[in-house]
Amino acid sequence: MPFADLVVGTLLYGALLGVIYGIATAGLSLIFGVLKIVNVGHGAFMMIGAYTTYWFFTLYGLNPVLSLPFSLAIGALLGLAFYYPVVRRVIDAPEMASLLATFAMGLLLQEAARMAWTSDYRGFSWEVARLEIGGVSIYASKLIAAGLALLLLLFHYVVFYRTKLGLAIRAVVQDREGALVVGINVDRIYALSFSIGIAITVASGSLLAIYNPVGINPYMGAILTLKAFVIAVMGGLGSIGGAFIAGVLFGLFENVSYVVLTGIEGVQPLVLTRFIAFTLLLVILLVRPKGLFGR
Amino acid sequence: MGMAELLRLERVSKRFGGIVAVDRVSLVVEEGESLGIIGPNGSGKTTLFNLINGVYTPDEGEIFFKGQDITRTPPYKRARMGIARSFQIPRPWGSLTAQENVAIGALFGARGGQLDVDEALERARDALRLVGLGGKEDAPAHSLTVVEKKLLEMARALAMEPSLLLLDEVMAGMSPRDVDRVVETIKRVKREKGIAVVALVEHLMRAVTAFAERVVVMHQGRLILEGPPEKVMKDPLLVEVYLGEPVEV
Amino acid sequence: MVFTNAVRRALRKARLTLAAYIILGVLYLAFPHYSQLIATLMFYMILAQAFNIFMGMTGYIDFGYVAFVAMGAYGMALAVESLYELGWASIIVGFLLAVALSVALASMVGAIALRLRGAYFAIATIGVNEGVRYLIEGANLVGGSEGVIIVRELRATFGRETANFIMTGLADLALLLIGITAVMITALILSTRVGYALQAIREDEDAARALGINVTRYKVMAFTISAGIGGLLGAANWALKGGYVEPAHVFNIHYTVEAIVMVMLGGPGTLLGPIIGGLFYGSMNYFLGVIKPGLQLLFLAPILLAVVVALPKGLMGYVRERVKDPRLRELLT
Repeated sequence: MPFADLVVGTLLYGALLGVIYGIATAGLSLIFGVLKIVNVGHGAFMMIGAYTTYWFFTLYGLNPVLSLPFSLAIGALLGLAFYYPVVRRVIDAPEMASLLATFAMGLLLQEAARMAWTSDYRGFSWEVARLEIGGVSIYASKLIAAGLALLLLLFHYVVFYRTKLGLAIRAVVQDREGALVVGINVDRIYALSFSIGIAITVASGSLLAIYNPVGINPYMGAILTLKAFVIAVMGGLGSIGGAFIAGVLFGLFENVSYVVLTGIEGVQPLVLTRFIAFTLLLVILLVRPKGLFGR
Repeated sequence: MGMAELLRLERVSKRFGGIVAVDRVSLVVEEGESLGIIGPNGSGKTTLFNLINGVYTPDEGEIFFKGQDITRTPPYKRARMGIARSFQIPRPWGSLTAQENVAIGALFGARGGQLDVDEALERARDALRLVGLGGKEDAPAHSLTVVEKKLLEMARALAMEPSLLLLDEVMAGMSPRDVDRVVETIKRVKREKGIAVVALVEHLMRAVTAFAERVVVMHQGRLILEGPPEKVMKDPLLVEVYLGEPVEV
Repeated sequence: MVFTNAVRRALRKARLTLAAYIILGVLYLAFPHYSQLIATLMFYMILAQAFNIFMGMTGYIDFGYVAFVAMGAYGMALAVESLYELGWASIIVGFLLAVALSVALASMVGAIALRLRGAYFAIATIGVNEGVRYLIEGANLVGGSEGVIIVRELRATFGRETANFIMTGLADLALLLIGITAVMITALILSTRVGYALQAIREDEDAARALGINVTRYKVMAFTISAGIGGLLGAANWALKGGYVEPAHVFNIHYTVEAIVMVMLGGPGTLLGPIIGGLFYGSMNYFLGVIKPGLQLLFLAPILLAVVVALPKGLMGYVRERVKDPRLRELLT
């Protein structure tokens, strides 16, 4: 492959993956922004989304794009199912309670998935056209996944800035007591925000499966959580726009780093890329303790 | 009074974004003096406290304590030099007992390095008695009433053996009886220990008159009036400040 | 003078906890059949105690704690791998290197992460744990993802019999000693100004700073001590007892979470709490493993949720709040 094509291809794939990372982190950031808790089980919810798309395709031959509404619905329900018995009770507790609780939620999903579907690696192949973009051949499914991610972001934006619910959420983020005083049911806003955040997270798992329909397994969430943390901190925890921009940057970084490291003898490029990502995280926190785009 | 200078602020300013919270304030506090700082909500009193105490660093100006420049000294070092404070909303360490709270003040305050834990606990008992909390030693701090928490903070500050005690709205929201109790305590502290006391007060002018030898009035980040309490209280400017009229200085 | 007073106070506080270790030691000798169960329990107790010194006392959640235990395991493994010809000396060097590596990593991490608070601190420490692991695996350092195996070196140097003794009896004795060390250090901290400073930081860090406590210094102190004990634990339990060190195992975040659970279960910041938490969790884990292998994690999740929701101050916190007698309360610290 000519060098120019390699560059274009690397950047293109990086940007497409980055858009999906962006939407995946948006859910994490929404939950942190409103409830002030970090969802340590984040990746496990994405794993559920990936399985949703996989099973609907494998069992019923459902077009993966059409599994998205199911993922959103499953996510919304999971969010509510965890909010009322657990999350609600740890919002005002010390940080360790919420960290531990969300970790346990992720663990529960992961182990349940392992019981139900074994720990085998699964994948599917959805035959769609390949497209030529600037001399680079690319699966249309990857473009579709990224397009759907942008659509989800738009949906997110509309809810946040164009609806009464969004206004109430933003009021709670600004000042919880103030919101209570004007008659906003803060508990309900928390429940809905958590539910929407999880719905977007599960849906982003589906998008990831569409983008890259292999390697679906119960443990895939761990590294996704860690990546989401890096991206969220880059973007400034709680900032959804920041998360999205940081997601795209991270996707680009990951692909460029992988390609560059492949040229070095005796190292494992994929694993070393992760090391660089975490080093990046620490450097960012050292320079800007509240994230790159954090206030 | 002819006493030595303890604290000096020279044209100290602090801005938050576009808002000037404290605007070129100069102020001297003498050893053993009791000073009341009054002003309406948002006049910059608490920011001024945080500057003296070291929670904030000023954008401009300098702060001297016992002749040393402490403008950039971290709060914990200032505490050891002899600056102690209470908080507007009391912040005791909730799950520790009252005695332990005060003992920590003694362990890390001005003479902290020389005490061991038992001595500090002993000193804490004395300090609790001094503020009228004798008998509450073993109560977890979170179980105390608001007034008791405020007294606990005073005891904790006193146990540090400070030379300057900063009290942030220590009497706000108290019944007249409790106000008298606190005023008495402040006077006793001053008399017995010779500690300079600077108290922030939003309302409760009566209490200020009762304990302060000197009063300064803050408004929109500036000091606009200064003098003995009887005189300041009668100044028409003070009335304007509290009625929210524009004040020309 | 001040120090001997502190030691006396510490010993008084530590009576019950020390007794727990000594009883386990006696049981170990009396019932050789159950020796490995007892060693497992001690591992969990020490893990909880070491973690408690930082997390329990300051309230900061170090999600990457296991990295320090891993450093200790690597310290021992590398010392034995390269110095095995020195015989027993290589094991002593191993323990020293274990502490040195974990303390070195803790000082580096502390310099960066201890300026952060809450969620940012938790995330940064996860970053350190994963970062070190992926550096070792990705750049093929010290054995890469294969890790370091020292069983062969131990057998070559000491002979099969002695090597087996090192990997069971000696490693378990080391565990007992590390456990007692951890108890004494915790008790000393709790009976001196250090303990008060850490508790004040946990309750309200800004107020602590305003009241004369050098917050950074005490946080770094607790962080490093906690890491050092973790390092010893890794050296004894993983490198020496297991005979190998593998990155996917020693950097596994599950150990950190187990430590959090045990500390939460027993009661953070207390002396007896982590011991109770460790005994409870360790035996539960062991029996679940016997009854339904592979299902421990599925059971762990709801237990975690129940602890967080129902016992936010841990079992000890719950009991202590209901005990009025001050002497009994002191015994239960």
